[in-house]
Amino acid sequence: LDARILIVDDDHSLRRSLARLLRAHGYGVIEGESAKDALRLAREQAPVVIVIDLLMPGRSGVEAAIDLKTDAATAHIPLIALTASQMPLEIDRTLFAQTLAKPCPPGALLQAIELAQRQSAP
Amino acid sequence: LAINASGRTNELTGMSSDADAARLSMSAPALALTSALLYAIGAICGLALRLPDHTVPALWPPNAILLTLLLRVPAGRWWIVLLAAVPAHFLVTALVGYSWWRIAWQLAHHLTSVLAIGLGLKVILSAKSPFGSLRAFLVYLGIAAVAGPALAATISPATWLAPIGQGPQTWLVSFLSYSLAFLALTPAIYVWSLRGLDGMWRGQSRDYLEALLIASAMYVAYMLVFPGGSDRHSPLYLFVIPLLWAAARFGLAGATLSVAVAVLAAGFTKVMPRSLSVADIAGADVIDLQIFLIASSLTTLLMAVIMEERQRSLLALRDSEVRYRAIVETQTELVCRNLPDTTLTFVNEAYCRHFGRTREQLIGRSFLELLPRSAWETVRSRLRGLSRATPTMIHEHEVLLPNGKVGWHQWSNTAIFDRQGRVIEIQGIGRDITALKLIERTLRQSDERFQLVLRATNDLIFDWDIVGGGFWTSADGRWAEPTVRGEPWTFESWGTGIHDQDRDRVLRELNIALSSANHAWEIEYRRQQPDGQVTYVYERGYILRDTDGNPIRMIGSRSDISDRKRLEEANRSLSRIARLATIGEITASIAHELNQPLAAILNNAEAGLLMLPENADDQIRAILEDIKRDDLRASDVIHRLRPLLRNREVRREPVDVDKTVADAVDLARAESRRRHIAIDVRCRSGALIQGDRTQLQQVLLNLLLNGLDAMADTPEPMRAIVVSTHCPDDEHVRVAVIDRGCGIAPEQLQDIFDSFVTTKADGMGLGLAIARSIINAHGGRIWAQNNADGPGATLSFELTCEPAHRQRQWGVLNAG
Repeated sequence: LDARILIVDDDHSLRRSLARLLRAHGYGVIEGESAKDALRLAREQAPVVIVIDLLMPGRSGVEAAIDLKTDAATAHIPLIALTASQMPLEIDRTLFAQTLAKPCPPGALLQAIELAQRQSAP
Repeated sequence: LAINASGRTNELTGMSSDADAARLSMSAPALALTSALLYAIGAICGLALRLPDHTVPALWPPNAILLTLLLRVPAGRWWIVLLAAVPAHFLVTALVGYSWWRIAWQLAHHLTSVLAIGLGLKVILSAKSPFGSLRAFLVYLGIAAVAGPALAATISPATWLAPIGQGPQTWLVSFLSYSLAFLALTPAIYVWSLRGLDGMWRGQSRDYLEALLIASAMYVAYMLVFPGGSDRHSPLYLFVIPLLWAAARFGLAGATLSVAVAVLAAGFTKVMPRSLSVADIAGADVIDLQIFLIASSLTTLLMAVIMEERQRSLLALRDSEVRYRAIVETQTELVCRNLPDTTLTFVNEAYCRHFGRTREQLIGRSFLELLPRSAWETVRSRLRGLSRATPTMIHEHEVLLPNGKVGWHQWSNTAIFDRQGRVIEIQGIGRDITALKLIERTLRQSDERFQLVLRATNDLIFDWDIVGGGFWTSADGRWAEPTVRGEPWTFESWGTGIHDQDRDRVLRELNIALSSANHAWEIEYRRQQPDGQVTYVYERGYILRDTDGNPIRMIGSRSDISDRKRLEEANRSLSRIARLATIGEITASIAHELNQPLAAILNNAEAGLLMLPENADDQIRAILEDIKRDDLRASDVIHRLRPLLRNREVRREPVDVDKTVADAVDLARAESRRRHIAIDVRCRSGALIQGDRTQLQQVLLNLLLNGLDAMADTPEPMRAIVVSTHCPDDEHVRVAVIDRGCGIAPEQLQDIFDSFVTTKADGMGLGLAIARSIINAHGGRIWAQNNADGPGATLSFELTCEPAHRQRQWGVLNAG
């Protein structure tokens, strides 16, 4: 499979476990640990879906999402948000294709990735 | 004659005013012997005094001697004197050769007349001296010089046995001889026997010289009149001069002595001056002599008595003046007299001493000079106010003391009027009341201080007279006691006003305190005011006890501690809420921290299962399945725990935001007052939301406490917190807490609401985290920003409110 997923999360063990899971399901996985990584890797590797943790030190996931959506090279890539807290109501839903609460069951994430791929496919 | 004033009286009169001292105190035999001896001497003299051609003597001394003795002994001993005269008389007269019955008759008539005179004087004068006053002397003259001699002459044998036709003349000679003896001899013996010979030597040399002069003058006059047998009358007048001189200068003592000497001398001369004869009738010469001597003696003695009496009253007057002057001068009170224009006319010693000036410096000057100018007008007008209607006044004013200080005097002034009723002089008695005034002022200041302290502490001071039942309080209306005023305070009446639930405890404690040996009393309890309001009070007292340890009085204070009590209560409920919220927050934090590793474990297990080849060992697959299942179970526990805690007890009910804010601020007031920070509430949003009022108050309190903490180092005048509510749009209400504290570091602005994030040394970092979790649970948001218009930060939160609610709320408000 060609589909590459970019996972951005500062929690090392969670990120790695997610990467393993997605690989096991046949996805290619790129890992980043900060908002800065997200933009760089998205440009270089052109992932099909980006999964972003919203709570990160430095620039937050929301800011990273805004960066990605405002960059022409990455604007088309669907974003899936992971959030630990209750979903902040004021987050612009247009930024993210899906918002998942941490911890999400593995099935829910896979389902969300597939959905995001289909929505961005046409 | 310079003899001190008090001694002078007795010196001049020659006798004591004390009747007892005038009595001879000797034994009965001695008295009898003395009487007999004196009588005998007198009788011998009497016989010797007979003129050559007369049977009747010109002067008969024994009777005078007997009378003197009677006057000098108590009536109870008269019989001794009279009986003693009997043998003496017989002895002496036997020499003359009268028949025995004639001698007995003579004796009887002598004793009878003397006894009669003695009784008469005794009855009228009692024990008083017959020469002590003019009145007594006149009585003496009437009885001893007239009545007595008349009686004696009447019953005399000489009168009855005289040759025919000579009876009246013999009566007259007898009468005059008795009278002369009582006039010339009795006073002299009486006065000089009392005076004694000591008195002779007490005068000054000048006095002796004068006495000698008088004696010389008497001698010259005597020589001119008697031995010379002068034919002319003029020397007779010379004779009177030394007698009067003696009376004038030496009083009764001088007069009696000189009279006695003159009469005896004249009697013994036995040569009748021719000049004395008034008529050339035989036998009349002795009568002329007797009359001359009686006249001179009478004049001299009367003058002496009158002069002594005047002298005595003069001396008494001077004595009393000296006494009064001494009183005025030795007074510690200030005494002065002044004219109505305040000019001093008299000041006493104390007055001079007090002002440190001499009399000469004060008399003739106005006493206003001694007063500060400020007191002049008052004193003048007070003096003008004196009149017949109000002749006396008491007033107080300031005075200038010699040490330069200002003192206080109290004066009692009395006006003295002339016949027209005008004030001519004012007499004042004053005393220094500076010390009193000082005490008065100190007392007033002390009382004022006490009153101010009372006002400052707002305490009630009570003083309970346990024995008498009196109860004094500094009540100012705020502490109205429900007992009826005037009713004595007892142990029971103490209980009125105490809250029903506390009464038994307070009375029990009070009873214990009173019956123990302790002096201290201390208690906290609730009081029920008559209007139903309940206050918390803290009472402290000191119990005074008598020597047996019984309580007699309790004095103490009662403070209203309602504010503190309410704050304590609020703090207690607040800390309970905080504790609950903290547990929730900690749990939530732990759940959050566990979520990540649990998710990672689950992902790894899933990935492991997917990566296992089809033919792999079932054991490993089972292991991974177990891990996955347990992980899911743990996640499920946390998942179920989280929303439960997050939304714990969030009741949904209509909440008036403004009122909730105001209530929370009220709770924080005590704390803010303690820290001298003003809280300004500007709540006019009128918004109504759905939520939990208690939890929202908790949020506000946390924000307020955060603001108060932030201003710990802010200068006091700048310490202020503003709490405001407003609606940025129809759907939201925003609450902002603005402080003027140290602000928030920019890098902390984001995570100030996270758990365990704190800028305070002793903070847990949970207050704001709890606030955020509550606001989140209410579907709102919370944030912090530093103020743009100065120091400090603003912490705000926003909640959703129904437009309809808001409208309705406005309506209700407007209608209300």
